[in-house]
Amino acid sequence: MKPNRLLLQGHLKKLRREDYAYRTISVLIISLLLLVLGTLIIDVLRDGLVRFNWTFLSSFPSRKPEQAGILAALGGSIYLIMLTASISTPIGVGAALYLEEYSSKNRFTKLIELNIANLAGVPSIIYGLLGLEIFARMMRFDRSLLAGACTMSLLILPIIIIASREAIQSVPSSIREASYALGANKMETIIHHIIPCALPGILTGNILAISRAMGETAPLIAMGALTYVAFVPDGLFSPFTVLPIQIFNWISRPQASFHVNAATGILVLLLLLLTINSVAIWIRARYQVKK
Amino acid sequence: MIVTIAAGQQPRFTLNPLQPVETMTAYIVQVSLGDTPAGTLEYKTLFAVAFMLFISTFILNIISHHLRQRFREVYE
Repeated sequence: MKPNRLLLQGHLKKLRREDYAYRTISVLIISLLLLVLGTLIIDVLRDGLVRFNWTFLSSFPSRKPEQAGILAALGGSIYLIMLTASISTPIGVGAALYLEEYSSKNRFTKLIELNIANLAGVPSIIYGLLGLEIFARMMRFDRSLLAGACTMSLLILPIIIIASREAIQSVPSSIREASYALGANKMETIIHHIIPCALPGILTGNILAISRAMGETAPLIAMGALTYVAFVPDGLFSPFTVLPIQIFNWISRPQASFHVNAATGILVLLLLLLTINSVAIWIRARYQVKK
Repeated sequence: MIVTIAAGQQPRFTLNPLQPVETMTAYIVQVSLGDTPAGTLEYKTLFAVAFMLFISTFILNIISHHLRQRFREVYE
């Protein structure tokens, strides 16, 4: 009896020690990551806060770094995001609904699923060249806001579809069955029960996808968005630039004062992202309470 | 894009990880930044490089799909 208990206690002690070591390593890793993130933010703040004022936000790019501003890129980014969201959300959610609710499980849908998973992992620059060929040249949108938004929509569609499908899958089948039992048809079930139930998940996927679209530069450069734009886009077919391209442009200049501008541009981009994300989270929270 | 800024933009064939190199993505960005009229050799090269890039990610994706199929545990 006694040796057994001693053995057990020794074993427990060893387990606890292992658990403790594992926890320490995990905490170390997460604090390392947070440290890197914090250093980045502090560095950007220190470099960029000097120029962060209303003149910077409301003037156009210029050859003189002290007069250069970010208005054209800010306007372009906001327009592009709004267009991208309104193109990709209905298509993406529609595709997810079809795949989850209507399609039968055969080889064809399996092929589609494999393709979507594959497309989500394709480098973004390839979408840029695709957009250049299809939207800018074949459909003659040229280097316009519309061509950019279509390219961005293609880029984020796989993410939206995958996230929306997962949200729809997690709706309990009892809700579906109850709705059918009360005489609702498929469309009524989807509109009144499945979509409201899956909405928080769908919105989360969309927020993530749109945040990604905001930070992407490569596809737009390949598609031919301009790097020097001295106006805010005024229509669907207007040329444009976006914040990441403007920042990339400033970073690749040799003068140090342009690097300060780039840091301030990063600040503006971060603020815009945070604003959009918090609005989206607020909307999501509202829907969750209603349910 | 991140790699474009961090790894440098110098086409150089080296195995030394400390030297600046150029990735396929960086090449496409660099050439697209200049003016590439449709139909020229540069324009066609862009698509050739993009095709290579697509093929390599496609192969990786197929491998990951197979790994997922093999190791996924089905609870039902």
